[in-house]
Amino acid sequence: MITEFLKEKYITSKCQIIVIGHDGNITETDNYLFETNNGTQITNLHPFFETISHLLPDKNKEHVFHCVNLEINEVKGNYNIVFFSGSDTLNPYLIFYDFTENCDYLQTIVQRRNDSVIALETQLLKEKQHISEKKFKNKFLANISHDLKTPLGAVLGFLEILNKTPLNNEQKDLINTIRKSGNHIKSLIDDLLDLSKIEAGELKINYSTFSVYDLINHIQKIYTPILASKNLLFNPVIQQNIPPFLVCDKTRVLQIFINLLDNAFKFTNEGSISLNIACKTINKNSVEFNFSITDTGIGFPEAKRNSINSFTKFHQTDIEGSGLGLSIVKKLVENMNGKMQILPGVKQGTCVQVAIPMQTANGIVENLSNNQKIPLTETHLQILIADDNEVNIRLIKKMLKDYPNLTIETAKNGVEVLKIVEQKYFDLILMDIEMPEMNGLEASLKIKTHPNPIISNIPVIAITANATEIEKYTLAGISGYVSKPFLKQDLLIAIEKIFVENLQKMNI
Amino acid sequence: MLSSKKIVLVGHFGVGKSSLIRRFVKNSFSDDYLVTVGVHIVKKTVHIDNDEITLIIWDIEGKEDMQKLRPSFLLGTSGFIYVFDATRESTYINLSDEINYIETHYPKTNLLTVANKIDLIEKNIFIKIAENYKLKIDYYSSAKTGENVELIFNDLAKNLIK
Ligand SMILES: Nc1nc2c(ncn2[C@@H]2O[C@H](COP(=O)(O)OP(=O)(O)OP(=O)(O)O)[C@@H](O)[C@H]2O)c(=O)[nH]1
Ligand SMILES: [Mg+2]
Repeated sequence: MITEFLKEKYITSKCQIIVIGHDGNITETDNYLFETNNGTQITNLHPFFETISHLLPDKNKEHVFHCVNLEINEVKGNYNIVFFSGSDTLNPYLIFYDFTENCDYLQTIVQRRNDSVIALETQLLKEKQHISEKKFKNKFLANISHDLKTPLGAVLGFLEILNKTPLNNEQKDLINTIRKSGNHIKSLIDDLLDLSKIEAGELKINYSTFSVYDLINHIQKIYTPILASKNLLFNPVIQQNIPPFLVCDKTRVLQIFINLLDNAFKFTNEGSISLNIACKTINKNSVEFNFSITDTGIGFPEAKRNSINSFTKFHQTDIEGSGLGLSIVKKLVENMNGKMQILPGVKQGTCVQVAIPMQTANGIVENLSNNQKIPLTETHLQILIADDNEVNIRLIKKMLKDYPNLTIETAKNGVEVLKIVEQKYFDLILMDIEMPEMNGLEASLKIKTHPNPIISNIPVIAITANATEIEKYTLAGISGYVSKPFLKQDLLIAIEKIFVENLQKMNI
Repeated sequence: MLSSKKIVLVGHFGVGKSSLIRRFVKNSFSDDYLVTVGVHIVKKTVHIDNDEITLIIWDIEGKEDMQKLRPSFLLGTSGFIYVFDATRESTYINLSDEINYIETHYPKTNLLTVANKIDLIEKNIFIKIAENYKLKIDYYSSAKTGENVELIFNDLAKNLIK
């Protein structure tokens, strides 16, 4: 009894059977789910049946349709429908299982999933669009700046010519004013170009060694005339612990100083501007280069200060009034993995603090004299010399004997080189070009196209008697060359270059 | 002569299949997205010259892969409209495979491809994208503005009586 009851409650009441004739008219129905009458043409119940009526002549076929949404005689539901096309002994029939509840449940789950996938895709699309708009903007900026520079150059050029003609004092004065404004426009255009390059990620940081003392001398020379015209004190202080040489992009470092100092001088009419430089040791080979510029000028409103401090290189730049200088500094500093912060100055005024990590040069001296010992680097470097000529190998080894941090191995031809680099790590290969079995070009090409990135990244310096074939070397991935006969200094400079380039690659 | 033909709108979820049908049949549109589960079936008769044809339109659930669709949904189909969303790359990135699938498994059917939601994207920009992806597109449409919706169904109907 109970099974009958349960069957009725859970199965029979959720299921309707309709038997139809081969003409599609209903011959029998139990009306458990919706009302239909015998004799009704099935295709009149719902368009669904119109699309299956062509299956009727096809005997003994069963089809199942899942989750079909139907409204029949004002009853709505989702049904799984079994359709049997009939046989010789059996009329065609349809069985409807009521799946409305399941479909409703499924609907909420699928809805949630689809909504979130679409939201994510839309978000990604927006970001993509934002990037391409930004690219467009930067390209536009770069083009327009470039186009402006040419006629401006002509204006300034002719102004100089005009200046050399006989003029009275008033005219000279006017020309001076025009020149100043023209130069101002020029520097604004340069800033725009810089900014668009930075934002487009096209700004290359060219690492080289520089002396902080030279830098400060240079800066003092720039600002002496301005100091004379304003009642200002300018006192740069360099702390004792500064390494004599640091590795960074010296042009950009100078630009950072100049942009910040320009602002300080522009907004300070009396009092002082102080520049403090110090270094914090990070490790044996690197420091954090810190400096601050504090002025007694008009200062920044707090809100503006905060907004500058909080924008990152991914944000739009929006610093009005102070020109583009400050945005460029912030972006340049961030490009060098450093930080810039604007704090309130003493009393009023502004204090800008900058910190940039830099490699110490450990004496990568730029102007080498012939017999000076060049303290290449303290880093341990493994060098492979490939040459079929014993005498040459001995010569190179002799040239490098002052450097205990260099470990040297040798190979007699390209084949040997390939074998050796696969067994051991090298920082550099000095490769003779003319060698038996496999020449230096071929070996270099094989290294550069090696599937193992550790091998393909080894820099190769060609040692060659034929420096006219440099194009070929570049194609073979050779990073530098030394032409025979060469001096110790030539060899060391070539190695030093690779070492500095490596630093750049490591983005230090 | 009155004949009826089954047509099915296929494509990823959320591309606007239900919206296109709603625009065509009821001339209305809603910005809300209500997922279709299973299938809804509606019909509409269109007049072409002196002919009349009833389109029985199957609005099925979206699937990113035609092969994952229940074959019973596609049984007896005369015409397909493959819809994708011009603003969502994922809905057209495999277009040519999907079209290929339909053309090989349902060779005797008519098929139109439709880039929908064209109101949301600069048409010229999208045409460039479409060239990049080598998309074969028959119509650009918007269920929201109604652009080309009538035309798509009418042209399919025309192809079906030919
Ligand atoms: N702007 C715009 N929005 C549209 C257009 N067509 C559809 N939409 C919106 O896109 C969303 C999805 O539309 P639907 O028609 O439900 O998509 P579907 O292809 O039926 O989705 P599934 O049933 O899940 O397969 C809804 O929010 C619609 O309002 C269009 O042409 N323009
Ligand atoms: Mg839908």
